[in-house]
Amino acid sequence: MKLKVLDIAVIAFALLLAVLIWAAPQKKAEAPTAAVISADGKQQRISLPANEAISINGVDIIIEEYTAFVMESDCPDKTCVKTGTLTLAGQRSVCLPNRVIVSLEGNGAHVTVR
Amino acid sequence: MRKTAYLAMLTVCALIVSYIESVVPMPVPAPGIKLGLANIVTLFLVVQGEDMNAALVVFARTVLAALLFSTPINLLYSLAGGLLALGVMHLLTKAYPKRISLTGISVGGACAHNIGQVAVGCILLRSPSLISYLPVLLIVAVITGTVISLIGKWIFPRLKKAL
Repeated sequence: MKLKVLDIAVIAFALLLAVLIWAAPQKKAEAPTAAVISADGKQQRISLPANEAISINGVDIIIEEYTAFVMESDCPDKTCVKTGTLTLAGQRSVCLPNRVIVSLEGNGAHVTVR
Repeated sequence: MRKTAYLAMLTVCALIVSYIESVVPMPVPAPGIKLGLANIVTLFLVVQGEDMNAALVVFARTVLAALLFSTPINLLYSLAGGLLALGVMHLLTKAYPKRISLTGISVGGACAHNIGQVAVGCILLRSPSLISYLPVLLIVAVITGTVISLIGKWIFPRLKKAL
């Protein structure tokens, strides 16, 4: 396989873009203070700790104390269910087919990694 | 008539490989990662200079794939990915044809495909958060794009002879 100048340029550009996005400032591990459920862009915010079950757009979300997870979804890929339980601020579980995002947000109080 | 048969055959090729791909899971833990075998057909037409035919095949393939194996909402993702990949591959082929090989074109198309899908995701979810998944997708695209171009280098001369 012989690579030409632009082959290398394309590959270098892709990897550079990947590194730039990856290295972009990210929030450190934070204790969550609220669960945010976004469906079709409409958000609802639930202060934690809470114990609730919410069904929206065919996605069943369980909020337990300071954690949240998607228990069931009627979509074919179940990526949101496989994501598992969210425990730290900034984590999210996304259902693309049903346009639902479950995420945890914090108020800046850092915690040691659990 | 001959052109219809030719394009229908290539569309079916793309459909079959994308079906096989959807049935055989990739041995990676991350969701949404696939080889992108259907892009071989687009790549073939683009390097032949048949961009209009490539667009027709991409459109027919994505619509048929959505009707047969998927959902309307997934059509938006695959259409955006497929057409953006086609656009980028067209530009890379036309801009400096002597400076680029099949590998660069294929990798560029694979990256564009993923960027298009993430962009549609961001629009549909009305949230930019999906961008954080892009680094993984781009690195995978470099690998799958290279693999696709190697398959292409092996298949294209045979395909041309057969047509």
